[in-house]
Amino acid sequence: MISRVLLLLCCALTAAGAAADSNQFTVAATDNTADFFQIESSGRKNMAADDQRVALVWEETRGGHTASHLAFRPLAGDQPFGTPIVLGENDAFNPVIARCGSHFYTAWIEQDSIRATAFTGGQELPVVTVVSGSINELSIGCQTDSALLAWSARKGNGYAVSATVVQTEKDRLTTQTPVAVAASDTYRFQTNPGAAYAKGRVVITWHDRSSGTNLLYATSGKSLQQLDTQTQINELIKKSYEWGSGSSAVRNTLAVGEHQRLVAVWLDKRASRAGYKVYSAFSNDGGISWGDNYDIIDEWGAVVPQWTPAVASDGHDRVMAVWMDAREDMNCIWSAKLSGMTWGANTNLSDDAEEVHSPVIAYSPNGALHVAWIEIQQGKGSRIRYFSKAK
Amino acid sequence: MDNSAAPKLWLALACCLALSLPFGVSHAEPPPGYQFVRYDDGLRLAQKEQRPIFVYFGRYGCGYCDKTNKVGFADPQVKAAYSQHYVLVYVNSESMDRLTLPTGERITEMQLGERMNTLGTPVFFFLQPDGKQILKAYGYQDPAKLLEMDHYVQEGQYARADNPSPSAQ
Repeated sequence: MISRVLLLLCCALTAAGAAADSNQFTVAATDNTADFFQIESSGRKNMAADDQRVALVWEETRGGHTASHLAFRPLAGDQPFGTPIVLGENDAFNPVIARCGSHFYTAWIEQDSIRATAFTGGQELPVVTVVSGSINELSIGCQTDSALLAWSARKGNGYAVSATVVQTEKDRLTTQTPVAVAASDTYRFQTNPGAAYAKGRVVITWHDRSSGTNLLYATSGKSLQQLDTQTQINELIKKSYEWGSGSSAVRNTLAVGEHQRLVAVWLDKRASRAGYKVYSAFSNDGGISWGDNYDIIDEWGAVVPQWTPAVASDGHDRVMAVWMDAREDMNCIWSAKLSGMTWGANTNLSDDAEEVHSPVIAYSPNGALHVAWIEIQQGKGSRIRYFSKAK
Repeated sequence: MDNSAAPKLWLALACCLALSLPFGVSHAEPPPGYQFVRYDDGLRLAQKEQRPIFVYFGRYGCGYCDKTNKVGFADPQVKAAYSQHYVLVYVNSESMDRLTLPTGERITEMQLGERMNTLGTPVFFFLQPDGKQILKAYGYQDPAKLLEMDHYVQEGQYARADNPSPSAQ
């Protein structure tokens, strides 16, 4: 009870402190407890922004099936999100979005295919089918003003990660021939891809459990056609030589920070108890090498598991990670800012005492912060909440 | 079963398992010889058959999963009891495969772990056919513990307020 009162006080103080230069909106809501929202994608790339607008993509079941939606919000003034655009014509899930140059690229999985489109100014380009197959997960990143798509698809009894570049040419999208990211006979369970571009190199991250536990890898090269061999990012902690294969690293998410430094953030199962912790690593050479692993979670969060981490940067000095945990007895959205190689104090971003989950994050190039998550109002449905804060 | 056949059967099973795995790899899949199904399939099956559900949240690489498989679930009494009494469900707690819940909501196996507050692995749940939780147990379970929990659930002791859960550990 005491912790819940402290939580309410903490949430209220957080909200009050942020009120002067922040906005909060409901993006979508339902009072039907049989309807659901999902903010879910590989790498948690469901939100993107430039200096004029922010875009959010999500799944929902309000129409009687799983549909993916996209909504833009103009950043000038206190304007709310506009009318959502339905992505695809059938069941559509795992929507992703990235702002690459002046284009907002979005892609989703629909009927065993990846479909994509782009928004340039006020114009939506025709939807294209990027690839077909048993696609399970999809992520997105930017290569200058083109989009990098990376996905995991069924291959035999396992999974393989592939990637391609999608770009705008006049008023249409073009795609390159997809490239396999790693040898699927050695790495038979490649899942959870992420994609980025830094120091003139394409970087695809993924994890694989062929060794007996999920290890996090990065494959990079000057282009998708020139990928080098993979590098392991996470430190493998093995506590028993008799049982099991050691710690795992899953749900990786990527950002490109100041000086094009790559920041990888993931859930790491190395702690003896209390589930997954959020860890990070950095690469200063475009994904060729990765440094030590750093725990983002402070001592207060060490006693509970963390879930669904996401990371974003404004491309300059701002890098923030967000995740969900229940250190205060209920699910809240927590965040940490990166300063140099050090993560700051864990800060609560959720604004009230409802159960929340599935945070995503984006920065505008001017440093404005955007965060969204799902809020469950017990017995009264759910809604997608959005929080923004000027630089 | 003819007792003399049992060692041969176990030897055959062990050989099949060894041949199916790369050398030096310790997996933590569901234990061999059990009929585990997906969570959503298991809920539907349990409703249909009105049988309780045993849910095993595991992780590849997980040491205590590995030990529970090779010691706890390798026990013939455990195998007979669990195969007979429960709809057996295995959840790969790091999988992004989607499940369709009875509500129609589609979530990943990892999200299910988040919602059921699994903390780590292995975690075992005993559920009523309608999905209500009877018992939750964390960590390594030896044969005696697995059989104790089975008795507790099968004898309906969880419905008695004066009978504490054996999972309180």
